[in-house]
Amino acid sequence: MRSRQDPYIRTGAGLLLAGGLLLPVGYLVLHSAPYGALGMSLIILGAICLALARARPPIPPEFGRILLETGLENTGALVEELGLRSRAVYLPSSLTAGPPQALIPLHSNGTMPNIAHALPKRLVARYGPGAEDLGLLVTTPGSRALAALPYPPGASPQEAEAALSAILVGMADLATGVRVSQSGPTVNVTVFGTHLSYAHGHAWLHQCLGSPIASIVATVMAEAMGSPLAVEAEEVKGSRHTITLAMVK
Amino acid sequence: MTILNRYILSLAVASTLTTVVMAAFGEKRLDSYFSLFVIEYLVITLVFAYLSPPARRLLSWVAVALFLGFGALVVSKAVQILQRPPS
Repeated sequence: MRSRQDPYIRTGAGLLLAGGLLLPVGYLVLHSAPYGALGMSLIILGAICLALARARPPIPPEFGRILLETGLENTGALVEELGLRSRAVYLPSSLTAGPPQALIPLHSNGTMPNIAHALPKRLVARYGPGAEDLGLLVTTPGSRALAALPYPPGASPQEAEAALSAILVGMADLATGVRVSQSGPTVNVTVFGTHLSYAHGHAWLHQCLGSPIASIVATVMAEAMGSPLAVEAEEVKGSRHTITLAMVK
Repeated sequence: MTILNRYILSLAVASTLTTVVMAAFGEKRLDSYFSLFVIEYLVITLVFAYLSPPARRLLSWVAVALFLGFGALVVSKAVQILQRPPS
């Protein structure tokens, strides 16, 4: 049950009360349609605030940020302790035993791993026949966000753009817009109005997985295209964040 | 500012501007104001297409309530017209 201290509930109740008083007083007593209309608009806004109070996330945003930081710290510490420097490969759910995940190869010889079959649901997974073909299989924020989408993302840039907008703009409220374009094996994603800091510590982790926004984008695009992807480059200009993804053959 | 706050602010600005402009034009029918508020609500909710699924679900109930109010206005107008004596 929502607390009465919820700002949306308090605002909604206040607007309903003010509108409920202003509508009859303005229209019936003062015989003024504009005052009556003002009361009516306050009632509508109050009802909307009360409705939206139930749609707010159960975890306060500040606590969510603390949880995100904790998760990044832990994964960053693990990656740093293992001395991993190779870039992660974002896998669609068809190549994992569950939701889409990211594979960070334990050994890197400069080439991206070639993954042909679904990997087992383990932290350390073997992805090839070689002795060194081992990697860390980690769940990313995008993996969880995809599960909350009412429909799976489509393969076309427009469909992927819609899925990314639903996650980054609607669900996570991290950006104000997304644009996706594809040229051959390269996908360019521009995220507008990003609120999440790019270089927020965790430099080691960023080198492997990319920034949190790039990680979400890569997970969603890998699932949309049904193909492994890697974050090739990231560029931040003001609040515009450009991410270049490359298909891993 | 969160997307929910931007949405509420857009509705508040739109309804205030509508009231001020229509009052300046001397509009005295409350149902005209209500009709415009309903249209604004539907358009702004459509523009904010990326609100979270729970928010959209709850807002659809508000839309139903507004549509019922709009329907009641239309019915009352129709009854008024039908009850008018033939000239």
